[in-house]
Amino acid sequence: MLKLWKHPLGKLGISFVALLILIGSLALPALTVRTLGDPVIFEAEGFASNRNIDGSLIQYQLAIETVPLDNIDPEIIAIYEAQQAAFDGFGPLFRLEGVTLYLHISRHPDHTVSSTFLSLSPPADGHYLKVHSHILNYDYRSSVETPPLIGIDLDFNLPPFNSSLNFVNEGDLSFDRQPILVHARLYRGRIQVIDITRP
Amino acid sequence: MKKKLSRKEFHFLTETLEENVDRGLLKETQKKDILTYYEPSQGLDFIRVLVTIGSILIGLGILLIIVSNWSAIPALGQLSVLFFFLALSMSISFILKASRPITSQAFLYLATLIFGASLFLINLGFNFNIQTNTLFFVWALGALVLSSLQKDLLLFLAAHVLALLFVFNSFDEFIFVQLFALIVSFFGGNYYFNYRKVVSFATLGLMTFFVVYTLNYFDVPPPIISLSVFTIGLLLAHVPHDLNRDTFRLVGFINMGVAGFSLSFPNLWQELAFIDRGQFVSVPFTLAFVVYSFALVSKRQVVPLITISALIMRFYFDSFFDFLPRAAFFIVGGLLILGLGYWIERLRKASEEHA
Repeated sequence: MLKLWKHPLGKLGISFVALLILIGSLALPALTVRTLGDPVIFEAEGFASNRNIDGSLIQYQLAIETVPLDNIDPEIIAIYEAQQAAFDGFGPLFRLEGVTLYLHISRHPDHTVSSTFLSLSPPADGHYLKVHSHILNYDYRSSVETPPLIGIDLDFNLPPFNSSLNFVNEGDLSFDRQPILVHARLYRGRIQVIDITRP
Repeated sequence: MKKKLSRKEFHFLTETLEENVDRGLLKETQKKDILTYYEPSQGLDFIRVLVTIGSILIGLGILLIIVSNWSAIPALGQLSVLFFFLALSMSISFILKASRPITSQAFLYLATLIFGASLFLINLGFNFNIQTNTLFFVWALGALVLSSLQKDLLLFLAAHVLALLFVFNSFDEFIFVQLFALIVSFFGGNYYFNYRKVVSFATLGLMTFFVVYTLNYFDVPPPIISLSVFTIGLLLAHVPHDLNRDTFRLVGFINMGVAGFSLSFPNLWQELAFIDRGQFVSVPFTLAFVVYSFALVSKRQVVPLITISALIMRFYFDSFFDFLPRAAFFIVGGLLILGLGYWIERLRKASEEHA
């Protein structure tokens, strides 16, 4: 290897291969989840995103997003309230951006899942979904402001690596959210979509 | 190989040599010997200009076709396009290394940009859901690989900037494994680049950010973080050693300046549970810091003078903004800035002359 590195062409070749390996390493998390993850099924709503491939939609909204206020870690509420007090007067659109949240998940015998708790740290049993998300000061999805509620924005991309998404096209879901059934695998907070069907 | 000079430079060199031959300082044979090492460059060749413009236009056209149809290209096709252009720019850089070193470097920088763009586009195209901070980390590693290819200093510094972006995007995330890899690479790089001053400066600056990240990760209160940076600055500035002493001192003064400035705010100290009134600590600290900075200024150090100026402006703004009429506030503020600028410039010149 050292001999090859000393040769100018060998150096070029090794560098190029190293760069390809670095690029290839991006696929590792997706492949790990696919190999080691537990199968889960949940209902989601898909909607059009700017980020699409071949007209397939890639952004979804989990149906398990509706986390009751009682099921939110008091630490999150404390952070939210402190931030809201600090930015008082910025209006209802205030967001706490880019928070890493852990959605604790209950798995049922038929592989369906439901959310139980939203916290700032992962649960010990390892069944959780790690989401970079936003905390809103109202439920942004309803036009009516509901001040006592904290909206947890759990929109995120479900990685459709090797999944069959071609049945959905942009026109279907641009305006109307339609429920879809997602078969995925879950591993250490990461999720990998295997297949999607209409319920 | 003959060194190429512009026509004007070559004419000047010939004339100067002839004058020295006339004065008897050089012999005709010596003049000819010297001139054999130089040759005038060809200057603007019309055909070459046309060919260059033509090839640039063709390149832009190809780029436009690819960009406008990017989303329509299948994922594997996108991958092939990115790999092809990465390989192409690296190969061109390699081929031109001996004959056109500057163009070769430019293609190496282009390869680094293509590599970075590839990371973001592949993440998007295959929807790997990799976070931005990880992409910056991988990009920094790529820049390190490419900088080692031609021992390129600029790329090594670019890797520092990318590592900094990685840390900025990773606050509160567990990134110690990646940090360890970066620290080893950058210290190895310092050795590889023979401890050049600019490299040491970049690495020390980055290490400071690593320390800030680590303390923040373990929920250390902000005033303690500032005090830690201040202490690191003190150590960098005053611990005696033989390795790039000036650079260590400069980074030390910058660290102390930034941390000292932040510690002049009473609110920061109040984040410590046992401090009720921050000004009881911030004012004595600032006074001591200013006295220390003046002691450094007396030794012709410019950075502490900039720190003192920043502190004067900060107290001026805080104290007089509500108190003075706006016009008077800006006039006095302007005069203060002019005065401080003049003072800094005078000290800079004095320290240069002293050096």
